[in-house]
Amino acid sequence: MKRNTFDLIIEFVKTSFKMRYQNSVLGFLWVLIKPYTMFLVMFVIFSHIVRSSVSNYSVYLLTGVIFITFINELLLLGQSALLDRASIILKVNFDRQIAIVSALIGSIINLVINLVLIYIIAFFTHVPITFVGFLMLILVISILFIWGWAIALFTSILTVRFRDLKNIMELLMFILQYTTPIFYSLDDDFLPDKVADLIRLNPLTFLMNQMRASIGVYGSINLFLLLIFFLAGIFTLFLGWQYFSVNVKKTAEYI
Amino acid sequence: METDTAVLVKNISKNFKIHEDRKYTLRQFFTALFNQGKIKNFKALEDISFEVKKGEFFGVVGRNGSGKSTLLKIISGIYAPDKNKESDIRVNGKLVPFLELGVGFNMDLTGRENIYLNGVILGMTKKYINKVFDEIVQFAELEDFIEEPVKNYSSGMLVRLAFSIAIQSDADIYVLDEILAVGDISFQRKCLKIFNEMKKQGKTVMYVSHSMESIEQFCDRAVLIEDHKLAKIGKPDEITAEYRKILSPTDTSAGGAKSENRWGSKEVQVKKVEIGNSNSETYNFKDNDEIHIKVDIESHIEVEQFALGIAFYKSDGTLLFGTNSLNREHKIKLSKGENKTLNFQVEAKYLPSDDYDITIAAYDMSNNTPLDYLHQMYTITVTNNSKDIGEVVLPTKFD
Repeated sequence: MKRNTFDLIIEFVKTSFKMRYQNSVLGFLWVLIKPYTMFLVMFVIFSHIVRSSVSNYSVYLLTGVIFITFINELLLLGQSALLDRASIILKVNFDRQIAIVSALIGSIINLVINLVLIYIIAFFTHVPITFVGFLMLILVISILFIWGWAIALFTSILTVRFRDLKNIMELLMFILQYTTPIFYSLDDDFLPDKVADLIRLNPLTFLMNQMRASIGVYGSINLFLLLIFFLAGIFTLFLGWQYFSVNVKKTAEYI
Repeated sequence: METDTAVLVKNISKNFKIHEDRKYTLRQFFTALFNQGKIKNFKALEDISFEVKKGEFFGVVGRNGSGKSTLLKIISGIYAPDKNKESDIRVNGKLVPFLELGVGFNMDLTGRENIYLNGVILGMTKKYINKVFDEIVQFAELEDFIEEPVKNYSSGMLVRLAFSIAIQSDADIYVLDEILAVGDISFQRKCLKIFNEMKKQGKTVMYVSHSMESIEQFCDRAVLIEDHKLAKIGKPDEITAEYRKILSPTDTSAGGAKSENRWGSKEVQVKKVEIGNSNSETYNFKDNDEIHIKVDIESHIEVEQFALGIAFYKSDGTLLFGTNSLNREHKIKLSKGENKTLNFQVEAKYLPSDDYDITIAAYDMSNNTPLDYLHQMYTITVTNNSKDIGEVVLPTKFD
């Protein structure tokens, strides 16, 4: 990688971080406040409604909330990566991939900070933390990042042409929030079988539960399926890369 | 490509598809699929070919909307040209475009942070910026403000900072778009010095400007883009002469409406404009000259209260001064078919050194309608040795 490419990614990530938290008193703490507030509200309400059989419901729920917050950021920031940098894209010819990657890295950093806190809580609530689990967690995050990148290579360009996609994506995120088992578990007889089967088909359900499994809070790791997700992600990334390279230059006219 | 070529542009065209209303949404997109008639084609550039040699200072001249900016964006790799078998575009060396100063400047960040941000955007490495950081701050004369957010900077300070970063980018080829149009006079002089240095170092520079003076002063060759085509390529003084001819309404009087800078009912027409000093026709004035503007008009109707307006705009586009013949108690009544010559004079000593755009307007003052309005169609250059500061040089006296 060229030296300047690396420096440019760092500067972009740094700037968006600064912009997000500058002039706010709590600043950086907001990365934690938002998901934890969501967690607390859900915990108070759903721990009574759902009455889940999951043994460590609080960490189970917290992982789910942080997972979906991350997916939300990953998809939305990746999608608007080109539009957010419009003023620069129209004036300087830098590698456009940098705009995408730096947007995604921002969301990864938020995730990592939240995961550190999850590990601390997990430790105090006697969750069996293992080193293999930690490695699996890195694999899960890598898969999410690769898929997020691959999808952003398509959506960032398509959104420049069709601004509707921003609303469509937000709608999709809303649907995903309820069709992924954040505050309920598929083990409970909470849902009718047909609905539960549909939710199992949602790939995010698998990835979310694998994140829980690698932390040690719920279920077991399915390495085989994870590797398939990984390879499929690499393949989609390859397709996205082709699509992006061919179309990105033409896109400048529509920004 | 020959090894002494810096930029090769061969048969480049660019068409934009203009939708009557842009299809930003899916619904508009799908309706447009069945209704292609609404999409219009806009020809921004048509079959442009030229070559810039290494170490050349190459001027690009043309009216607003002629396609200059699109051309620069294609050379800079921001827009893709139309696909065509014969067309080719090659850049030999590292090219840094300055289509705008301070790209990516963030108003909430400090001067220091913006130097790093803007620097890497312009292709520098962090290590390199560390090395030239002090030089940038010094050149921008911002030592005391560098830790301040740039939103607290004046526009002059911003431009200075942006330019100081820009000149540190170590490129082989620079593409400068109208950079001299900003900044105060003393900073402009500094920029000129830098340009001369670039020239000495053998850098290749493509330079767009409306300032004919700077084109003539710096460029080795220039190209004139008119009506989206390459109209002329050659020595700078030939190009600027051609450009001034294009701007002159004597060439467009028949189909005068062609120019977007000219409008009016044309019931009274400006037939000819001559600009010069007391001896000869010229566009360059010194402070001891008198600026003479001679306007020939022809009236196709009867006008009870006719007025000729003349206005001077500074190079940054602000109106410096405007007057008309009626304000100056010069009543003119025109009868049908009448030809008339009006003379206007002003002493150049009141104007500080700058390029001035001149507007000439024929007005019917009884109903306040423009008959023939020539908006900023002429450019003159004034060189004034006065050391006074400000927008005008007032006649003053100390006792």
